[in-house]
Amino acid sequence: MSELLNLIGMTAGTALYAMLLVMVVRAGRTPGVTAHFDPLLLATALLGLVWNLCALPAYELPKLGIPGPFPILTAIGFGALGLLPAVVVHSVLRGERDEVRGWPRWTLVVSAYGVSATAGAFQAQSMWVDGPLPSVFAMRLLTYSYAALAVPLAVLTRGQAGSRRALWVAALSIFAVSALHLSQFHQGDPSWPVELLGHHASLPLALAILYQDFPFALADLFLKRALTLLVLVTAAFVSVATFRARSNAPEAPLTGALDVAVLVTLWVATALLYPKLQAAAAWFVDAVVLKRPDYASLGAEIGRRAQRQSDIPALLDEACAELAPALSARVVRWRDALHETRPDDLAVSVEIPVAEPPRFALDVAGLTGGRRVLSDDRAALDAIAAVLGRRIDALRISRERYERELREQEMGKLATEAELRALRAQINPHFLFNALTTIGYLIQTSPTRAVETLMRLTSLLRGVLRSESELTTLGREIEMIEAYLDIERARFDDRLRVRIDVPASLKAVRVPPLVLQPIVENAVKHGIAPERRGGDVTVTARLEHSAASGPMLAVVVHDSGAGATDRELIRGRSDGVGLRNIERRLAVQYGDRAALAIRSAPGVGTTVEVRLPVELAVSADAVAARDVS
Amino acid sequence: MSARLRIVIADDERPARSFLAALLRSFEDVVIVAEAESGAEAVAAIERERPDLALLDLQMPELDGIDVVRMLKKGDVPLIAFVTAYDEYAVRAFELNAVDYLLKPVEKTRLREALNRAQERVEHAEIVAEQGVRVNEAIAALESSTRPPLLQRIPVRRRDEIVIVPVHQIASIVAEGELLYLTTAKGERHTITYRLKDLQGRLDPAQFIRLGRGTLANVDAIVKVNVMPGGTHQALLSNGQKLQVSRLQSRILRERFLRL
Repeated sequence: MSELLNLIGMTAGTALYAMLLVMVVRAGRTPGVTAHFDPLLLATALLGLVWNLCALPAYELPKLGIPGPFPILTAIGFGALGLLPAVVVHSVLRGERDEVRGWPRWTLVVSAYGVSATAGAFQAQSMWVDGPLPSVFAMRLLTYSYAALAVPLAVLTRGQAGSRRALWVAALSIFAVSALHLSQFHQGDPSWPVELLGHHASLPLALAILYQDFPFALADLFLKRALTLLVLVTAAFVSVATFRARSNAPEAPLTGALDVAVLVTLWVATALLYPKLQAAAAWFVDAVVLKRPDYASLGAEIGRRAQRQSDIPALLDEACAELAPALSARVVRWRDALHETRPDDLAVSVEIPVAEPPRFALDVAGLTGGRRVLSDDRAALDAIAAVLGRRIDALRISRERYERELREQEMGKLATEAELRALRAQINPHFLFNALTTIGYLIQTSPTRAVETLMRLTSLLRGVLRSESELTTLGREIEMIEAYLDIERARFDDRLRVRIDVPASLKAVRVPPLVLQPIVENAVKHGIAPERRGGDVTVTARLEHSAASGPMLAVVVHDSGAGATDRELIRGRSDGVGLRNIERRLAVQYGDRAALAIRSAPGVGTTVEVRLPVELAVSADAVAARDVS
Repeated sequence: MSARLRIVIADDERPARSFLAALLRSFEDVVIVAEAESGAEAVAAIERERPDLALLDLQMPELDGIDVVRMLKKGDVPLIAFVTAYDEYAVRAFELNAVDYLLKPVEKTRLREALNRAQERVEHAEIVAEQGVRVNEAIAALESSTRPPLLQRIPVRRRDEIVIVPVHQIASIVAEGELLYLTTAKGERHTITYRLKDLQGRLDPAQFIRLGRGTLANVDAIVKVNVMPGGTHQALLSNGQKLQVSRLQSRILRERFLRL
């Protein structure tokens, strides 16, 4: 019976360690998984595999009468087995960053490896002199040494969580007992539970290392698979054992048709049961061992809540609030992944995948109750982060679209407003009727000037009524301003003196329509008209080059008229629709790059300066072509 | 056959003035006794010439047509016809109060009608006086229907001349009976006839605040506020004036000035 147990146990052990080895090697390569290649885990997997691979033939083949180099295999197997507890000690003592800190810990680790190496040497020596294998002395050395090492180990790891300590203490003691058992190899026929314990103590050692080991994000996957396999093996063993116990010859080989039928049935049954078993094992590991929340429903809930939120910080806050109890973490926070540095004490941090910055990360810190972030937690967090990311992207897209629409709407509104104001205010009735009165007077006194003024009025009206939709050129705007000022000059006589100084080279610069004309009109209306003596209106334009903003067009409208105090200016600026309209239009079109500055002092006059970035100049041909059409 | 109608015209814009004068000259029964280029000139001309009719442009620098009427002493107001290029509010106020007005460019027939009406009225002194009242009513209606722009300057009479005082130079305005005393930052004193309440309505409320029932002060001119026995305050102005602050206003003052 114990023979069968050993056979099954060692086969299972081989399978388990092979699985672990594959996963460890893969974990180091899988992109996106935080687990890095861990030499201790690799050592565990290799040592466990070597032990099982060596022990399996060494125990079983001689019973079938097959010869082989068994002493060597046995020596190697037991050497490997002896090293496993040293790896456990190392794993227990190393810190979060895979380092062993402080000389007491170092001493302990080195002595553990020393003991194991010495035991291995004794095995080799025993093999060399054809002594008993495994070496009785080596096994006892291991037993007593690790029993002794457990005491300082317990002292040095005071701070560790209880369950973790319990696990490795149990693992080490099982190993110690099994080593004692193995030292009495071939002596008598102990009962099968002792045999199980004795030969397969390497399995809890592997589990202890895995559970001890933070960085190995696939530990839970291994746990699930291992558990499934163990349950399956146990089930097979129990059923075969039960069946054999009832048959007449428990130790006879399986030959009869009935036996084969039973085996085939078992085989089919296990094949059928395997998926269910796997699900049950997964549930057991998640819900009982790891006390995991139900991520599927958690993810769905967070997704549902995210859909209802339209504010990104609130959405993230809510997700964090949901996640914290689920992960039994003291702190789940989000931060701007680009601008805030990652805190040091995090259990895990996942970045929320969004299309554009700002990017966010979810930080989990202060896990309680011995919780650790395993691959499923990690995967669940990633999935939740993806859900949040999609929602954030959607929100941003809709917000961007909304803002763009708003901006376009405002631009449209402003353009319409400007157009209306152009009709109502710029060409205001006052101006128009005054101009007509002037023309009436000129007809009587100077018909030539009357015709000229009429032409100016015509071109001004045409300029104002021209389409608002596109940029015009500085040249055209200046023409309009000249027409306007000519009419006003006819009206105000020598009270209005005008100087326009715009270099010809700047006339093709693109400017928004009707931005300058109202400023000039303000200068006449508020600067010159209230003054009995009148004054000068000067319009100058120049090109400025600055390294920061590129070429800028600066147009200055100055009047030497009434001027205003700062208070009146502020009032006029907020009340006066004209200037505010211009400022808003400039802001909509150019953002920060355009500026409108006003300086004024009572009795001195007012200066308004408009600065615009110089944009692509319209070629003279294009202007001419548009004029024709 | 009555005497020729004596007319003063006032417009700061020469073309408009000449245009109107040319029209008037085409009528035999009127005579232009003065052409004023500004409101102040118009006031002087009207007081000097005592015309039958004044044709006043509504928009003139410093002293506009309405100011001219206001600056005239009660007995000196002749028949008035306002001239405006475009002002729907003024037109409505004038029509409601049967005050004559002309629109620019002035039409000859329309001008003729206005002259005919004036000629009829000139013969009855009481109608002329009544017309003066109606003009004032029209002005009041106009100022209440449109929020008149805040005053930038206040015209004041000093002997025979009219001085224009920029509002920002005024430190305080104190009411005494029907008169208002304006004191500038330099300490010059002027007297105007205006209701304090109406004047306050046309001043920037952020610049002029009430200190008491009959006192307004320019906040920029207040240098110091002394606490007086009894919880009232006394404001010291930059021109040396000391003004009592009423109990009610001192609280407002405290909230606006004595707090950061």
